[in-house]
Amino acid sequence: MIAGALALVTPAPPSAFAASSELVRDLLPGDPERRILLDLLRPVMEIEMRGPVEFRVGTARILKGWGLVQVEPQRPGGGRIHRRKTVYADEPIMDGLTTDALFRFRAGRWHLITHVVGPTDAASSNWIFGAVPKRLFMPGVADGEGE
Amino acid sequence: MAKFHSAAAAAVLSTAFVAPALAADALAAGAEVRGAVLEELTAFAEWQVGGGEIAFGRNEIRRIGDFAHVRAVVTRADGGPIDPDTLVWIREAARPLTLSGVLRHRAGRWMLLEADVEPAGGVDPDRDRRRWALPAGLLPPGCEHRQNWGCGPPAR
Repeated sequence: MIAGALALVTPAPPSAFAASSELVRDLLPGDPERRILLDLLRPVMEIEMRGPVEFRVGTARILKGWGLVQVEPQRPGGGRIHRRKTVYADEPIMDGLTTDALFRFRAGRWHLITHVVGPTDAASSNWIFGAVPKRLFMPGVADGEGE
Repeated sequence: MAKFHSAAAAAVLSTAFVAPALAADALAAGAEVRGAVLEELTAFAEWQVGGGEIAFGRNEIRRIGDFAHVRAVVTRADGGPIDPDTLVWIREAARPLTLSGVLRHRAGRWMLLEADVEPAGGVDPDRDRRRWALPAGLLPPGCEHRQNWGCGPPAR
């Protein structure tokens, strides 16, 4: 009985099958892969935000072994992060602290590839090259469309 | 006398246990950490070259505590050079194609915090990371101040 209860709450490890799915999968709250991606982003965000962070998640999805999240960092408990208290205090042009991040599933686990904080345009579209599927960023678009 | 021994012992202990943990530790080839750091950098490297298998050539890794800084030349899997001009999304890259980045050890593994392709012209690849609160000495000196690190590809 205890083992059964534990099985209900223990997150399943990410599987290569799930990560490499041909279908866009939105990672909803409680999805273990959502937690994994956010925890990979957290260390660099804690440095850049100069303190602990939580995320309000706008987008979290995976496709063909690639992952994308868009988050709004905040202090634990929901406190606002003031840009002047971050490493971006002296940046002249930023659009808030909204953060996009790209991930790759490789050798059995997820890796943070890159991230951008407060872009003033769709900076993450510059990440679509090589094997990165366009549908990860625009789920309604076919990968070869609009090239 | 006992006090002297105690002070001496403390000095020895601080040298033996504290200093190595704080000093930049240039990792020897074959070190376990070196392999783990390069493994963690591989996904970024493969993305930068547009997919396909890569290998790392000369590389320099320094570690302080749970942080590591890496510079590594990226090659094709057979060791052949990668021409940055064939990668249209990379502009003004140093030759040979070299990556520079910072990692942190968390939750039992090395995690890439950020990496970049080193730009041409001796531009500091770590310029944005110099405003991070990192252990002193982790980032190599800026190009104009480099001595052992040099401004070209990693020395090893």
